[in-house]
Amino acid sequence: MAPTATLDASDITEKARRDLLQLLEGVRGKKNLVIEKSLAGPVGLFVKFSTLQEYGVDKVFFLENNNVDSTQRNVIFLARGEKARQVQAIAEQIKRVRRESKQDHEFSIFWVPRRTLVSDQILEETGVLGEVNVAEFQMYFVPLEKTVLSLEMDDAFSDIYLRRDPTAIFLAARALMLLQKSQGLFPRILGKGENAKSLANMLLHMRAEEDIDASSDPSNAHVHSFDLTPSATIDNLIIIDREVDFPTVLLTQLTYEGLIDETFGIQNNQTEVDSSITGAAPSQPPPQQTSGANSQAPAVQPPAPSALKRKILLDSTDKLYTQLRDANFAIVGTLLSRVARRLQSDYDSRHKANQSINELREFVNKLPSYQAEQASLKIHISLADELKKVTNGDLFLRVLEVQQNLAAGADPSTVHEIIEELIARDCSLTTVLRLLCLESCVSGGLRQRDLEHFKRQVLQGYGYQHLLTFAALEKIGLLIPRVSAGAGAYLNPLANPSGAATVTDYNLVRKSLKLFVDDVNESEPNDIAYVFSGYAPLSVRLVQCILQKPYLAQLTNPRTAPAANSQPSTATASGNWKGFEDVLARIKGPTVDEVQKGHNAAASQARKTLQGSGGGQVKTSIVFFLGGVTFAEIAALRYIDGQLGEKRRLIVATTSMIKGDTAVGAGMEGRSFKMR
Amino acid sequence: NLLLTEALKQSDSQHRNDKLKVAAKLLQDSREHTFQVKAIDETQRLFRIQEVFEKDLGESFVGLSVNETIYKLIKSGNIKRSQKVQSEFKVAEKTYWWIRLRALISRRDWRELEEM
Repeated sequence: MAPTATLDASDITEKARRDLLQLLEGVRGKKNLVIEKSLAGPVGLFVKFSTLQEYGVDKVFFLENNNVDSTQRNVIFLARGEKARQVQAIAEQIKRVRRESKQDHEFSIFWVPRRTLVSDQILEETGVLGEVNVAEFQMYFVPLEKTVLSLEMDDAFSDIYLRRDPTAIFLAARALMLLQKSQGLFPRILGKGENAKSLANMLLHMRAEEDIDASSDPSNAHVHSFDLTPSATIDNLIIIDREVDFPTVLLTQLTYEGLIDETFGIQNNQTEVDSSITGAAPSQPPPQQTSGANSQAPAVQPPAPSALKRKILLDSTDKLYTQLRDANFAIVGTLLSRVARRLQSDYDSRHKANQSINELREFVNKLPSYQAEQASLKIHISLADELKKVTNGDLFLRVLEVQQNLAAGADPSTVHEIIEELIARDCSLTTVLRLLCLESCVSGGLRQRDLEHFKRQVLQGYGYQHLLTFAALEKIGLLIPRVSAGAGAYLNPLANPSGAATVTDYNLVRKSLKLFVDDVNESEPNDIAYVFSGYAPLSVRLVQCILQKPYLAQLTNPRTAPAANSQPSTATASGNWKGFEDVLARIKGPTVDEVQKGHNAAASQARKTLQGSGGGQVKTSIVFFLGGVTFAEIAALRYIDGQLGEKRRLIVATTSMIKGDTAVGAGMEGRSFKMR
Repeated sequence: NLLLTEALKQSDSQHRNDKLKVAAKLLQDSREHTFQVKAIDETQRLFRIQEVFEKDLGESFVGLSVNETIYKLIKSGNIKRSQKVQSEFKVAEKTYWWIRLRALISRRDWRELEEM
């Protein structure tokens, strides 16, 4: 198993597809496939329904209310094995089908990504374990884009931070381990935050286990030792714990893609938009819209919602969208009109006098692509139009005002009045909570008096069940009372020998990392701060600490910058936290810095020579966001990727996509005192 | 104490009040939870007042929040009652006016609006 030269997302897609189809092949004859709802999207990203049909799948169902059909002899379940509730649901379905149908059935369960003890236990208890074929379908990372990998675990955020359930971290470690196996060890693991630390430890641990396995099995030994030499292509792994940087999630994303996510929601690269906005779905959707779309939809969805909602696929297959997605929304309008004008002129070129036959033919050849582009242009114009309505709304502007003030470090009490007004105007609770959480995160907790005041307001405005909401948010650490004892701790950082502050000292970090840039250029971004129109995400700044030292040094400290630049800076190459230790000490959670060396130095040396002179090699850095990443952060990282040039690639990996509503929603109490 | 609050979600009117009382009692013991105690107390008062409204006006009120209750009262023209709720729960003047504004607009009661 020779490591491929560069990490390629399509390999992962291909592998996942092969695995799934192989599993399906293993079951003879026609079969019904029952899929867990949250898995349908990711699976749809790499397998088309027609392909499934070729492999004998007759119908596809979601795993929910008792809808499993007994028309086929074989029934296959595809579900995550981590949650007990899902397992129970499956067991129940199996029992029910067996009871109701006269036929004999054969059941198979494919656990994603692994078979767990819990799942076996439950199946045993319900007495179905003996009659099912259990298999594993090892799907970890799902590539959303060429450079974006995701585990697509929707609950990761609440699991990690609210329930303190390390499952997501464990799965992340497994996923990264698989990467290491194919690519070689990450030479360096850097990270920030409590959970990042445990993830790094887990990785080291798993590696040690591998080593033991290898040595106990001599026939395998050389294979393993070869696999586990430091990778020549991957330079380092940077783990960012979401806990380190909550504020970024809580702010409203201002890139085009981010805003779509905020308003309509994006799931598995698709967004669902009311068809009144985009116009009724055209009878012939442009080719790139259907290519990857979830084609199982017709089989599994009741027709009613699909008539009103229209799914739009958003990914890099849409050329126009690639241009737009990372742009600040303020300039999307100009971009769109520019494209529209170009299209127009392209069309007009047909009228040019004295065209030769060849030119004409060329034009006709291009026509389909023009049409496709026009169609996508139409969609994006209407989407942008709708977003414009939202962003010009009074409430949105108010919210934005509060956010910008808080991010810029203004005195929080100035925004209290606006928040109060928002509550009184019955603005959605998530929005209000986002603002409150943001204030709490930025200023290290709210003052006790203010906090109680707002709690009261919210309870009265939205119902008393939200007492529980507040309890949950406090547990996550989003909304906390200011602790006076904590203030002493960061006045004197030396008192804390571990160097791990418990609360991020935002004011200080803002200054030293220049988190707020006043003069952002939204149309031609000169700093990552453009994604939030002024605020630079802390998480991405941390990545810059490692990869773009000179730039950041210059930015944060313009006076000493020339001096720093004059000396040959070797720090960039080594890629560590060096130079930013003081700042890191002020940010919550421990800092991780581990170097992984191959235990077989000769092998790694041989690898290096095999790969040729390392100089020309493209180096890849993987940035792993534990607990979710926002589209705005991805945009910022793409921007950095562009800045770093050809020599280095950034790959973003995460447990799931996230936005502020998800974060706050994790703690929100859904039920109310309404009578049923 | 979370468990208790959780439990009261499922039960209906009578049970719920009982549960709330138990929760309040438990919380009273510790000093840190004075805020929660107060909130639970208010919850109970809100239910009582909402039940009265339900009897008087023949519409459903239980389950609404304080602001929503006021909104609904104004919308259906019961300004007096809404003011009572306001004073009972010490809703801020400004909040109250916002609610009143919204409610009157949704009622298209321009005459009343002008008097404000």
